[in-house]
Amino acid sequence: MDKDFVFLEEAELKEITSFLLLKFNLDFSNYTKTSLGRRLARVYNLYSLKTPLELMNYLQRSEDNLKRFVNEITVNTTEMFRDPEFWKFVRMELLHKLNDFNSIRIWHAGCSTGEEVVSMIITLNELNILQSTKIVATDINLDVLSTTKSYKFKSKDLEVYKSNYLESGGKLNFEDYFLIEGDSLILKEKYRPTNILFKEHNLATGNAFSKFDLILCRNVMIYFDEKLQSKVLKLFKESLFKKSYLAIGRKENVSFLPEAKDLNCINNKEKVYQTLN
Amino acid sequence: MIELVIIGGSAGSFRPVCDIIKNLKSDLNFPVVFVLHRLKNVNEGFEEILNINDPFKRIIEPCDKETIIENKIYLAPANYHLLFSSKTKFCLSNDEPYMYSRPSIDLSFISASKCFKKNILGIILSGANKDGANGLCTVFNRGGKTLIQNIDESEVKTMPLEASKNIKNPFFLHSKDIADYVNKLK
Repeated sequence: MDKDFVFLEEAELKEITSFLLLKFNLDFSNYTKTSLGRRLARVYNLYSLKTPLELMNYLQRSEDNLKRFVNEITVNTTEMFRDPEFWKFVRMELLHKLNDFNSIRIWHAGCSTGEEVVSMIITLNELNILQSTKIVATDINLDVLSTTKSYKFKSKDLEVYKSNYLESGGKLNFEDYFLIEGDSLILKEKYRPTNILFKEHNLATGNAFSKFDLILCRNVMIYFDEKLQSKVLKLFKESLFKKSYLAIGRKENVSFLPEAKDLNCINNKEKVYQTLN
Repeated sequence: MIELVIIGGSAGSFRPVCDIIKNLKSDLNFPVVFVLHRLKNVNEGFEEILNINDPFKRIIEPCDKETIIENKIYLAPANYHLLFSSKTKFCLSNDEPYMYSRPSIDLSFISASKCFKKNILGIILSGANKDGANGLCTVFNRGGKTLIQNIDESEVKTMPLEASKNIKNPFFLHSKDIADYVNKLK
């Protein structure tokens, strides 16, 4: 029996990343080797590949293959109100601290399939500030952006989302926000904000494009090495107003990066940082 | 020479985990890492329950890229996979569950054995699924030491049983004797 690949060896990893850069101008050189080795092994198993050469042939066969590959490598798991304690902090404290509570600008960097965006929409709605808030949702991947735009989620996860929502301090009937059609959970029209922009943006190569009061980038930089993390952190600082906030994943850590020296950690458990004056 | 002890457990492992931590000596010269299946949103609760009033035994839920320090006890954080980039650095990942689990014992063990080769002890405790079986087997195949909780004594037998299947002459210990064994490692 063939055994599943669990991690690729470093030599194979090197071969594949240099091929991707040369052939398709896809740069994974600043991704953490361990987790990239895991994600590539997962792709090997999915497509029944065994060697770098087989992967290279697969990628050159069609553009669709390449697109599927990039999706598999970059798309990650997410859920609505993931880490309810974080969302409780957003609801009870963070949003109230923002410079002008009545015209907030929020950037979801690496929004994936939109579960975090809809969690924010629901939270803003319950604080009665949804229509006065500007939301920008970006991702490297156009396919997941179009999923985000459709406000369509999987209904099989409804129970998890609902219990997360209640734990985060939600008081309403969670199901009322959605239409359930087959195995889809669709955000009702009336809750979709008018002031929202979906935009392709690559954190590794993109520039600052606007200013925000709050940036959420949770469990994205975890895949980057220190060099790329520093670069992205610099981009976030350029994109934040004074006394504004950055939220990263609860087990991510940027404090050790020199770029973080002018950020003040206001919640170490939930990893929320504030820019200085 | 042992440079890392890594312990996986699931259902029924709470009591053995407490026993082990309580009885570990405070001057071990390697880190001890627990990878336990836990309720998804129970974060610090587990750490608090397990916390014992010995400062050497403070349980650390490491962050991504945190430096691994000998003589510390670590616990894989809920909802992340705990991997190793090197002998001195953790690497967390947010990947999909593996073997229906996140953290996955298999991923942690296999990643650890890539970095530590034969200088590692892998231990599998009570649990209700197969996660950990491949991981322990990988540790074994790369020349590391392996140890399984006595199956009769395990509250839930699936995990130790599955783990024992791929290992030649598996070594079993009663959970009460595991800390003592670890304390004597060199």
